[in-house]
Parts: sequence; C-alpha cells; structure tokens
Amino acid sequence: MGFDSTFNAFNISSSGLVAERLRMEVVANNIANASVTRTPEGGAYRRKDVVFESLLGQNPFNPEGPFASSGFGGVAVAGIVEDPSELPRVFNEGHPDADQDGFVTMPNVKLPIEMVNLITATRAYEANLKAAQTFSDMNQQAIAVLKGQS
Amino acid sequence: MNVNAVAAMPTLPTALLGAANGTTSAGTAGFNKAVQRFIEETNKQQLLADQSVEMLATGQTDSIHETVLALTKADLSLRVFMEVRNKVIDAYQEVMRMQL
Repeated sequence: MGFDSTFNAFNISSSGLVAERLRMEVVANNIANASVTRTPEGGAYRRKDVVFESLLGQNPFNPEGPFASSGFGGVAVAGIVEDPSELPRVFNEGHPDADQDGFVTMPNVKLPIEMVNLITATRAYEANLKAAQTFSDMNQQAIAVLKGQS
Repeated sequence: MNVNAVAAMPTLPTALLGAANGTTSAGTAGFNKAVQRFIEETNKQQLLADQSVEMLATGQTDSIHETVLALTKADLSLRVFMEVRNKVIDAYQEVMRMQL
C-alpha cells in the first residue's frame, strides 16, 4: 500500500546495490590478503566469495489486485564462503613461515581473477543504479503527463 | 529539509472543498480522506528521507545509495502530490469560473 509498493523497484535496486557493495568488500579483502600466510584459523589466507540468493516479498504477485506490484524482494546475501581450492606452495627459504623443505604455503588468491570480479562488481553496481535511475525517469515522465494538460 | 511545511498543508484542500460546496456530503468526505491519506504518505516519504540523511551524517549507516534512493522516493512522491494538488486547484477554479 501507499508509496512503499509504488516505489518497490527502488527497494529491489537498493538490495542489488547492497549486495554488489558487499561483493566489492570481499574482493578488496581478497586483494589485501593476497600474500597473508598467517590467519586466526592458522595457515595461509583462503580467498572468500559471496553467495547471493533471490528474495520474494511478502505479497505474492496478484495481477487482479489494485496494486500491480510484483512482490519481488530483490537479492539477499546468502553467505560468504571460502574457496576450497589448493593453496599454492612457493619456494622461499628465508620466510619465517617456510616448512623444513623451504616451501611457504601462500593464499589461493589470484589477482587477475580478483580484478575481473572487481570489474564485475562495479558494472553490476552501475547496472543496479541505472535501473533505479530509469525507474525514476519513468515516474517523472508519468508525472509530466499531469503537468502537460491543465 | 523542512518537513513541517508539508505537515501543515492538510488544511488547504479541506478548506478548498469546504468553500466549494459549503456542506460535506459522504462523497467529499471520502475525497477528503483520500487527499489526507495521500498527504500523510507523501509526508512519510519526506520524513524517511530526512531520517536517512541524518543517519548518514551521524554515521549510523554507511550506505550512500540508500540515502540517495530515499531522497529520490521523497522527491518523486512530492512531485506527484504537487501535480495532483495543481489539478485539484485547477478543478476548483474551473468550477468558480462557471457562469450561473
């Protein structure tokens, strides 16, 4: 009811923006920890990834109703998961965390992949913002109809 | 952003309608109510936008986009309201211009 359902598209875009912002933070954290060999859990840092899930709003779609809001709730973050892939071992004898053979276990962060994820997050954020902006423009065009004929 | 101005407005259309026909029949009461609810909804969006700006300024929230979207919602709802108000006043003036 009211403006809340009128502007539901804004709420959906907002949830997308929140999700992409979180993805950006996770990528930034991966890059920052790209050469960390000591973590609270022990061992080298494992790269993190976000998992998104779709949300359905409170009211299911009702085309017969007076309010044709879809009832969609946008996106939610299901969780942040660790990448279970193998940690690379690099020969570095002088490193304090090297084992007896002189190998250091490094994080499984690959900078090219993180860069791609960074661009994906930026573009997705941009797309969500564009969707919100377009919705705003649509509404303003509808209001302009009232303005036109007096 | 001053939201009190919007809150003070409900008297305007009610006064207009009262002047237009002198009595309040069931039909105009319903319209009064609709306008009143419309104003309340518009005011709510203004208050929410105000609150989100305050929360961003005081550091209670860190998402700029939520504030921006709240402001856009407030802007759009006020635009709709202003256009509807203009229409109502136009209709009133049209009636007043009527030759008897």
